[in-house]
Amino acid sequence: MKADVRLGANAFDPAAELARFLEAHPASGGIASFIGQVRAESGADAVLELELSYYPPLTLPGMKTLADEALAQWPLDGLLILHRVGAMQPGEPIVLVAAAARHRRDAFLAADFVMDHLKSDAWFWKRERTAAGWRWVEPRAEDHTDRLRWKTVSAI
Amino acid sequence: MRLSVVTLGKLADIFTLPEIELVGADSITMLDLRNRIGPPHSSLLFSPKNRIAVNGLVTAYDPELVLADGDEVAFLPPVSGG
Repeated sequence: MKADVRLGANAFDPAAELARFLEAHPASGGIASFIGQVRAESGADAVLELELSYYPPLTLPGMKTLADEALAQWPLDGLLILHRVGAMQPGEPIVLVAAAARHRRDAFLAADFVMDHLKSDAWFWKRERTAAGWRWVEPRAEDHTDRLRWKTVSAI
Repeated sequence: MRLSVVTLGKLADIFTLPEIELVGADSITMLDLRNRIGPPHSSLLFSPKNRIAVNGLVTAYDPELVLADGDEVAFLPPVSGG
């Protein structure tokens, strides 16, 4: 089983992608998915635009390695990782992760594992535009601690 | 020889230098590159907070590492999440 891992500069439709994924895995009893989107907020601090930059020699290869680690860890029937790069507007999807397995627990864990590692390890740099202008987003301590949760699961 | 230098994330706001041309040299070391970039940018790029990739492979900073014609050196600040 090979994961479907993609990086794209264009907007994608999570519902359509998920429908295709469901259709491709009729034998899977459990499918867990996660969608991350640009927060649409109001007020002075509201993000008006988000930009994700990446480094082609590392970003997609790193995501594929992450998918392989998830596949080695849990018995999955399918794994989908879609990630946007470039400029995004509030409300637009950034990331879609879906894992298909015979039983729900493996699907939940694999999707959670992939998201925690995408947030803390993947080669993305994020900047936001608010009314005050552009600012680079610094790494969050929570993302690091979220990743450490998996240290007890494996040596990854 | 020519060397490509890539800066990512906020480092790209601080410093961009698409290519370095070194006339008459076949290779240089990482330390030579650091000296060539010079202060104040060299200390920002070579900060221990950043990672360095050579031709798409992340490496530990090694001042002796030999860089050859066509190599790409990328400076990667801490990632800020997907």
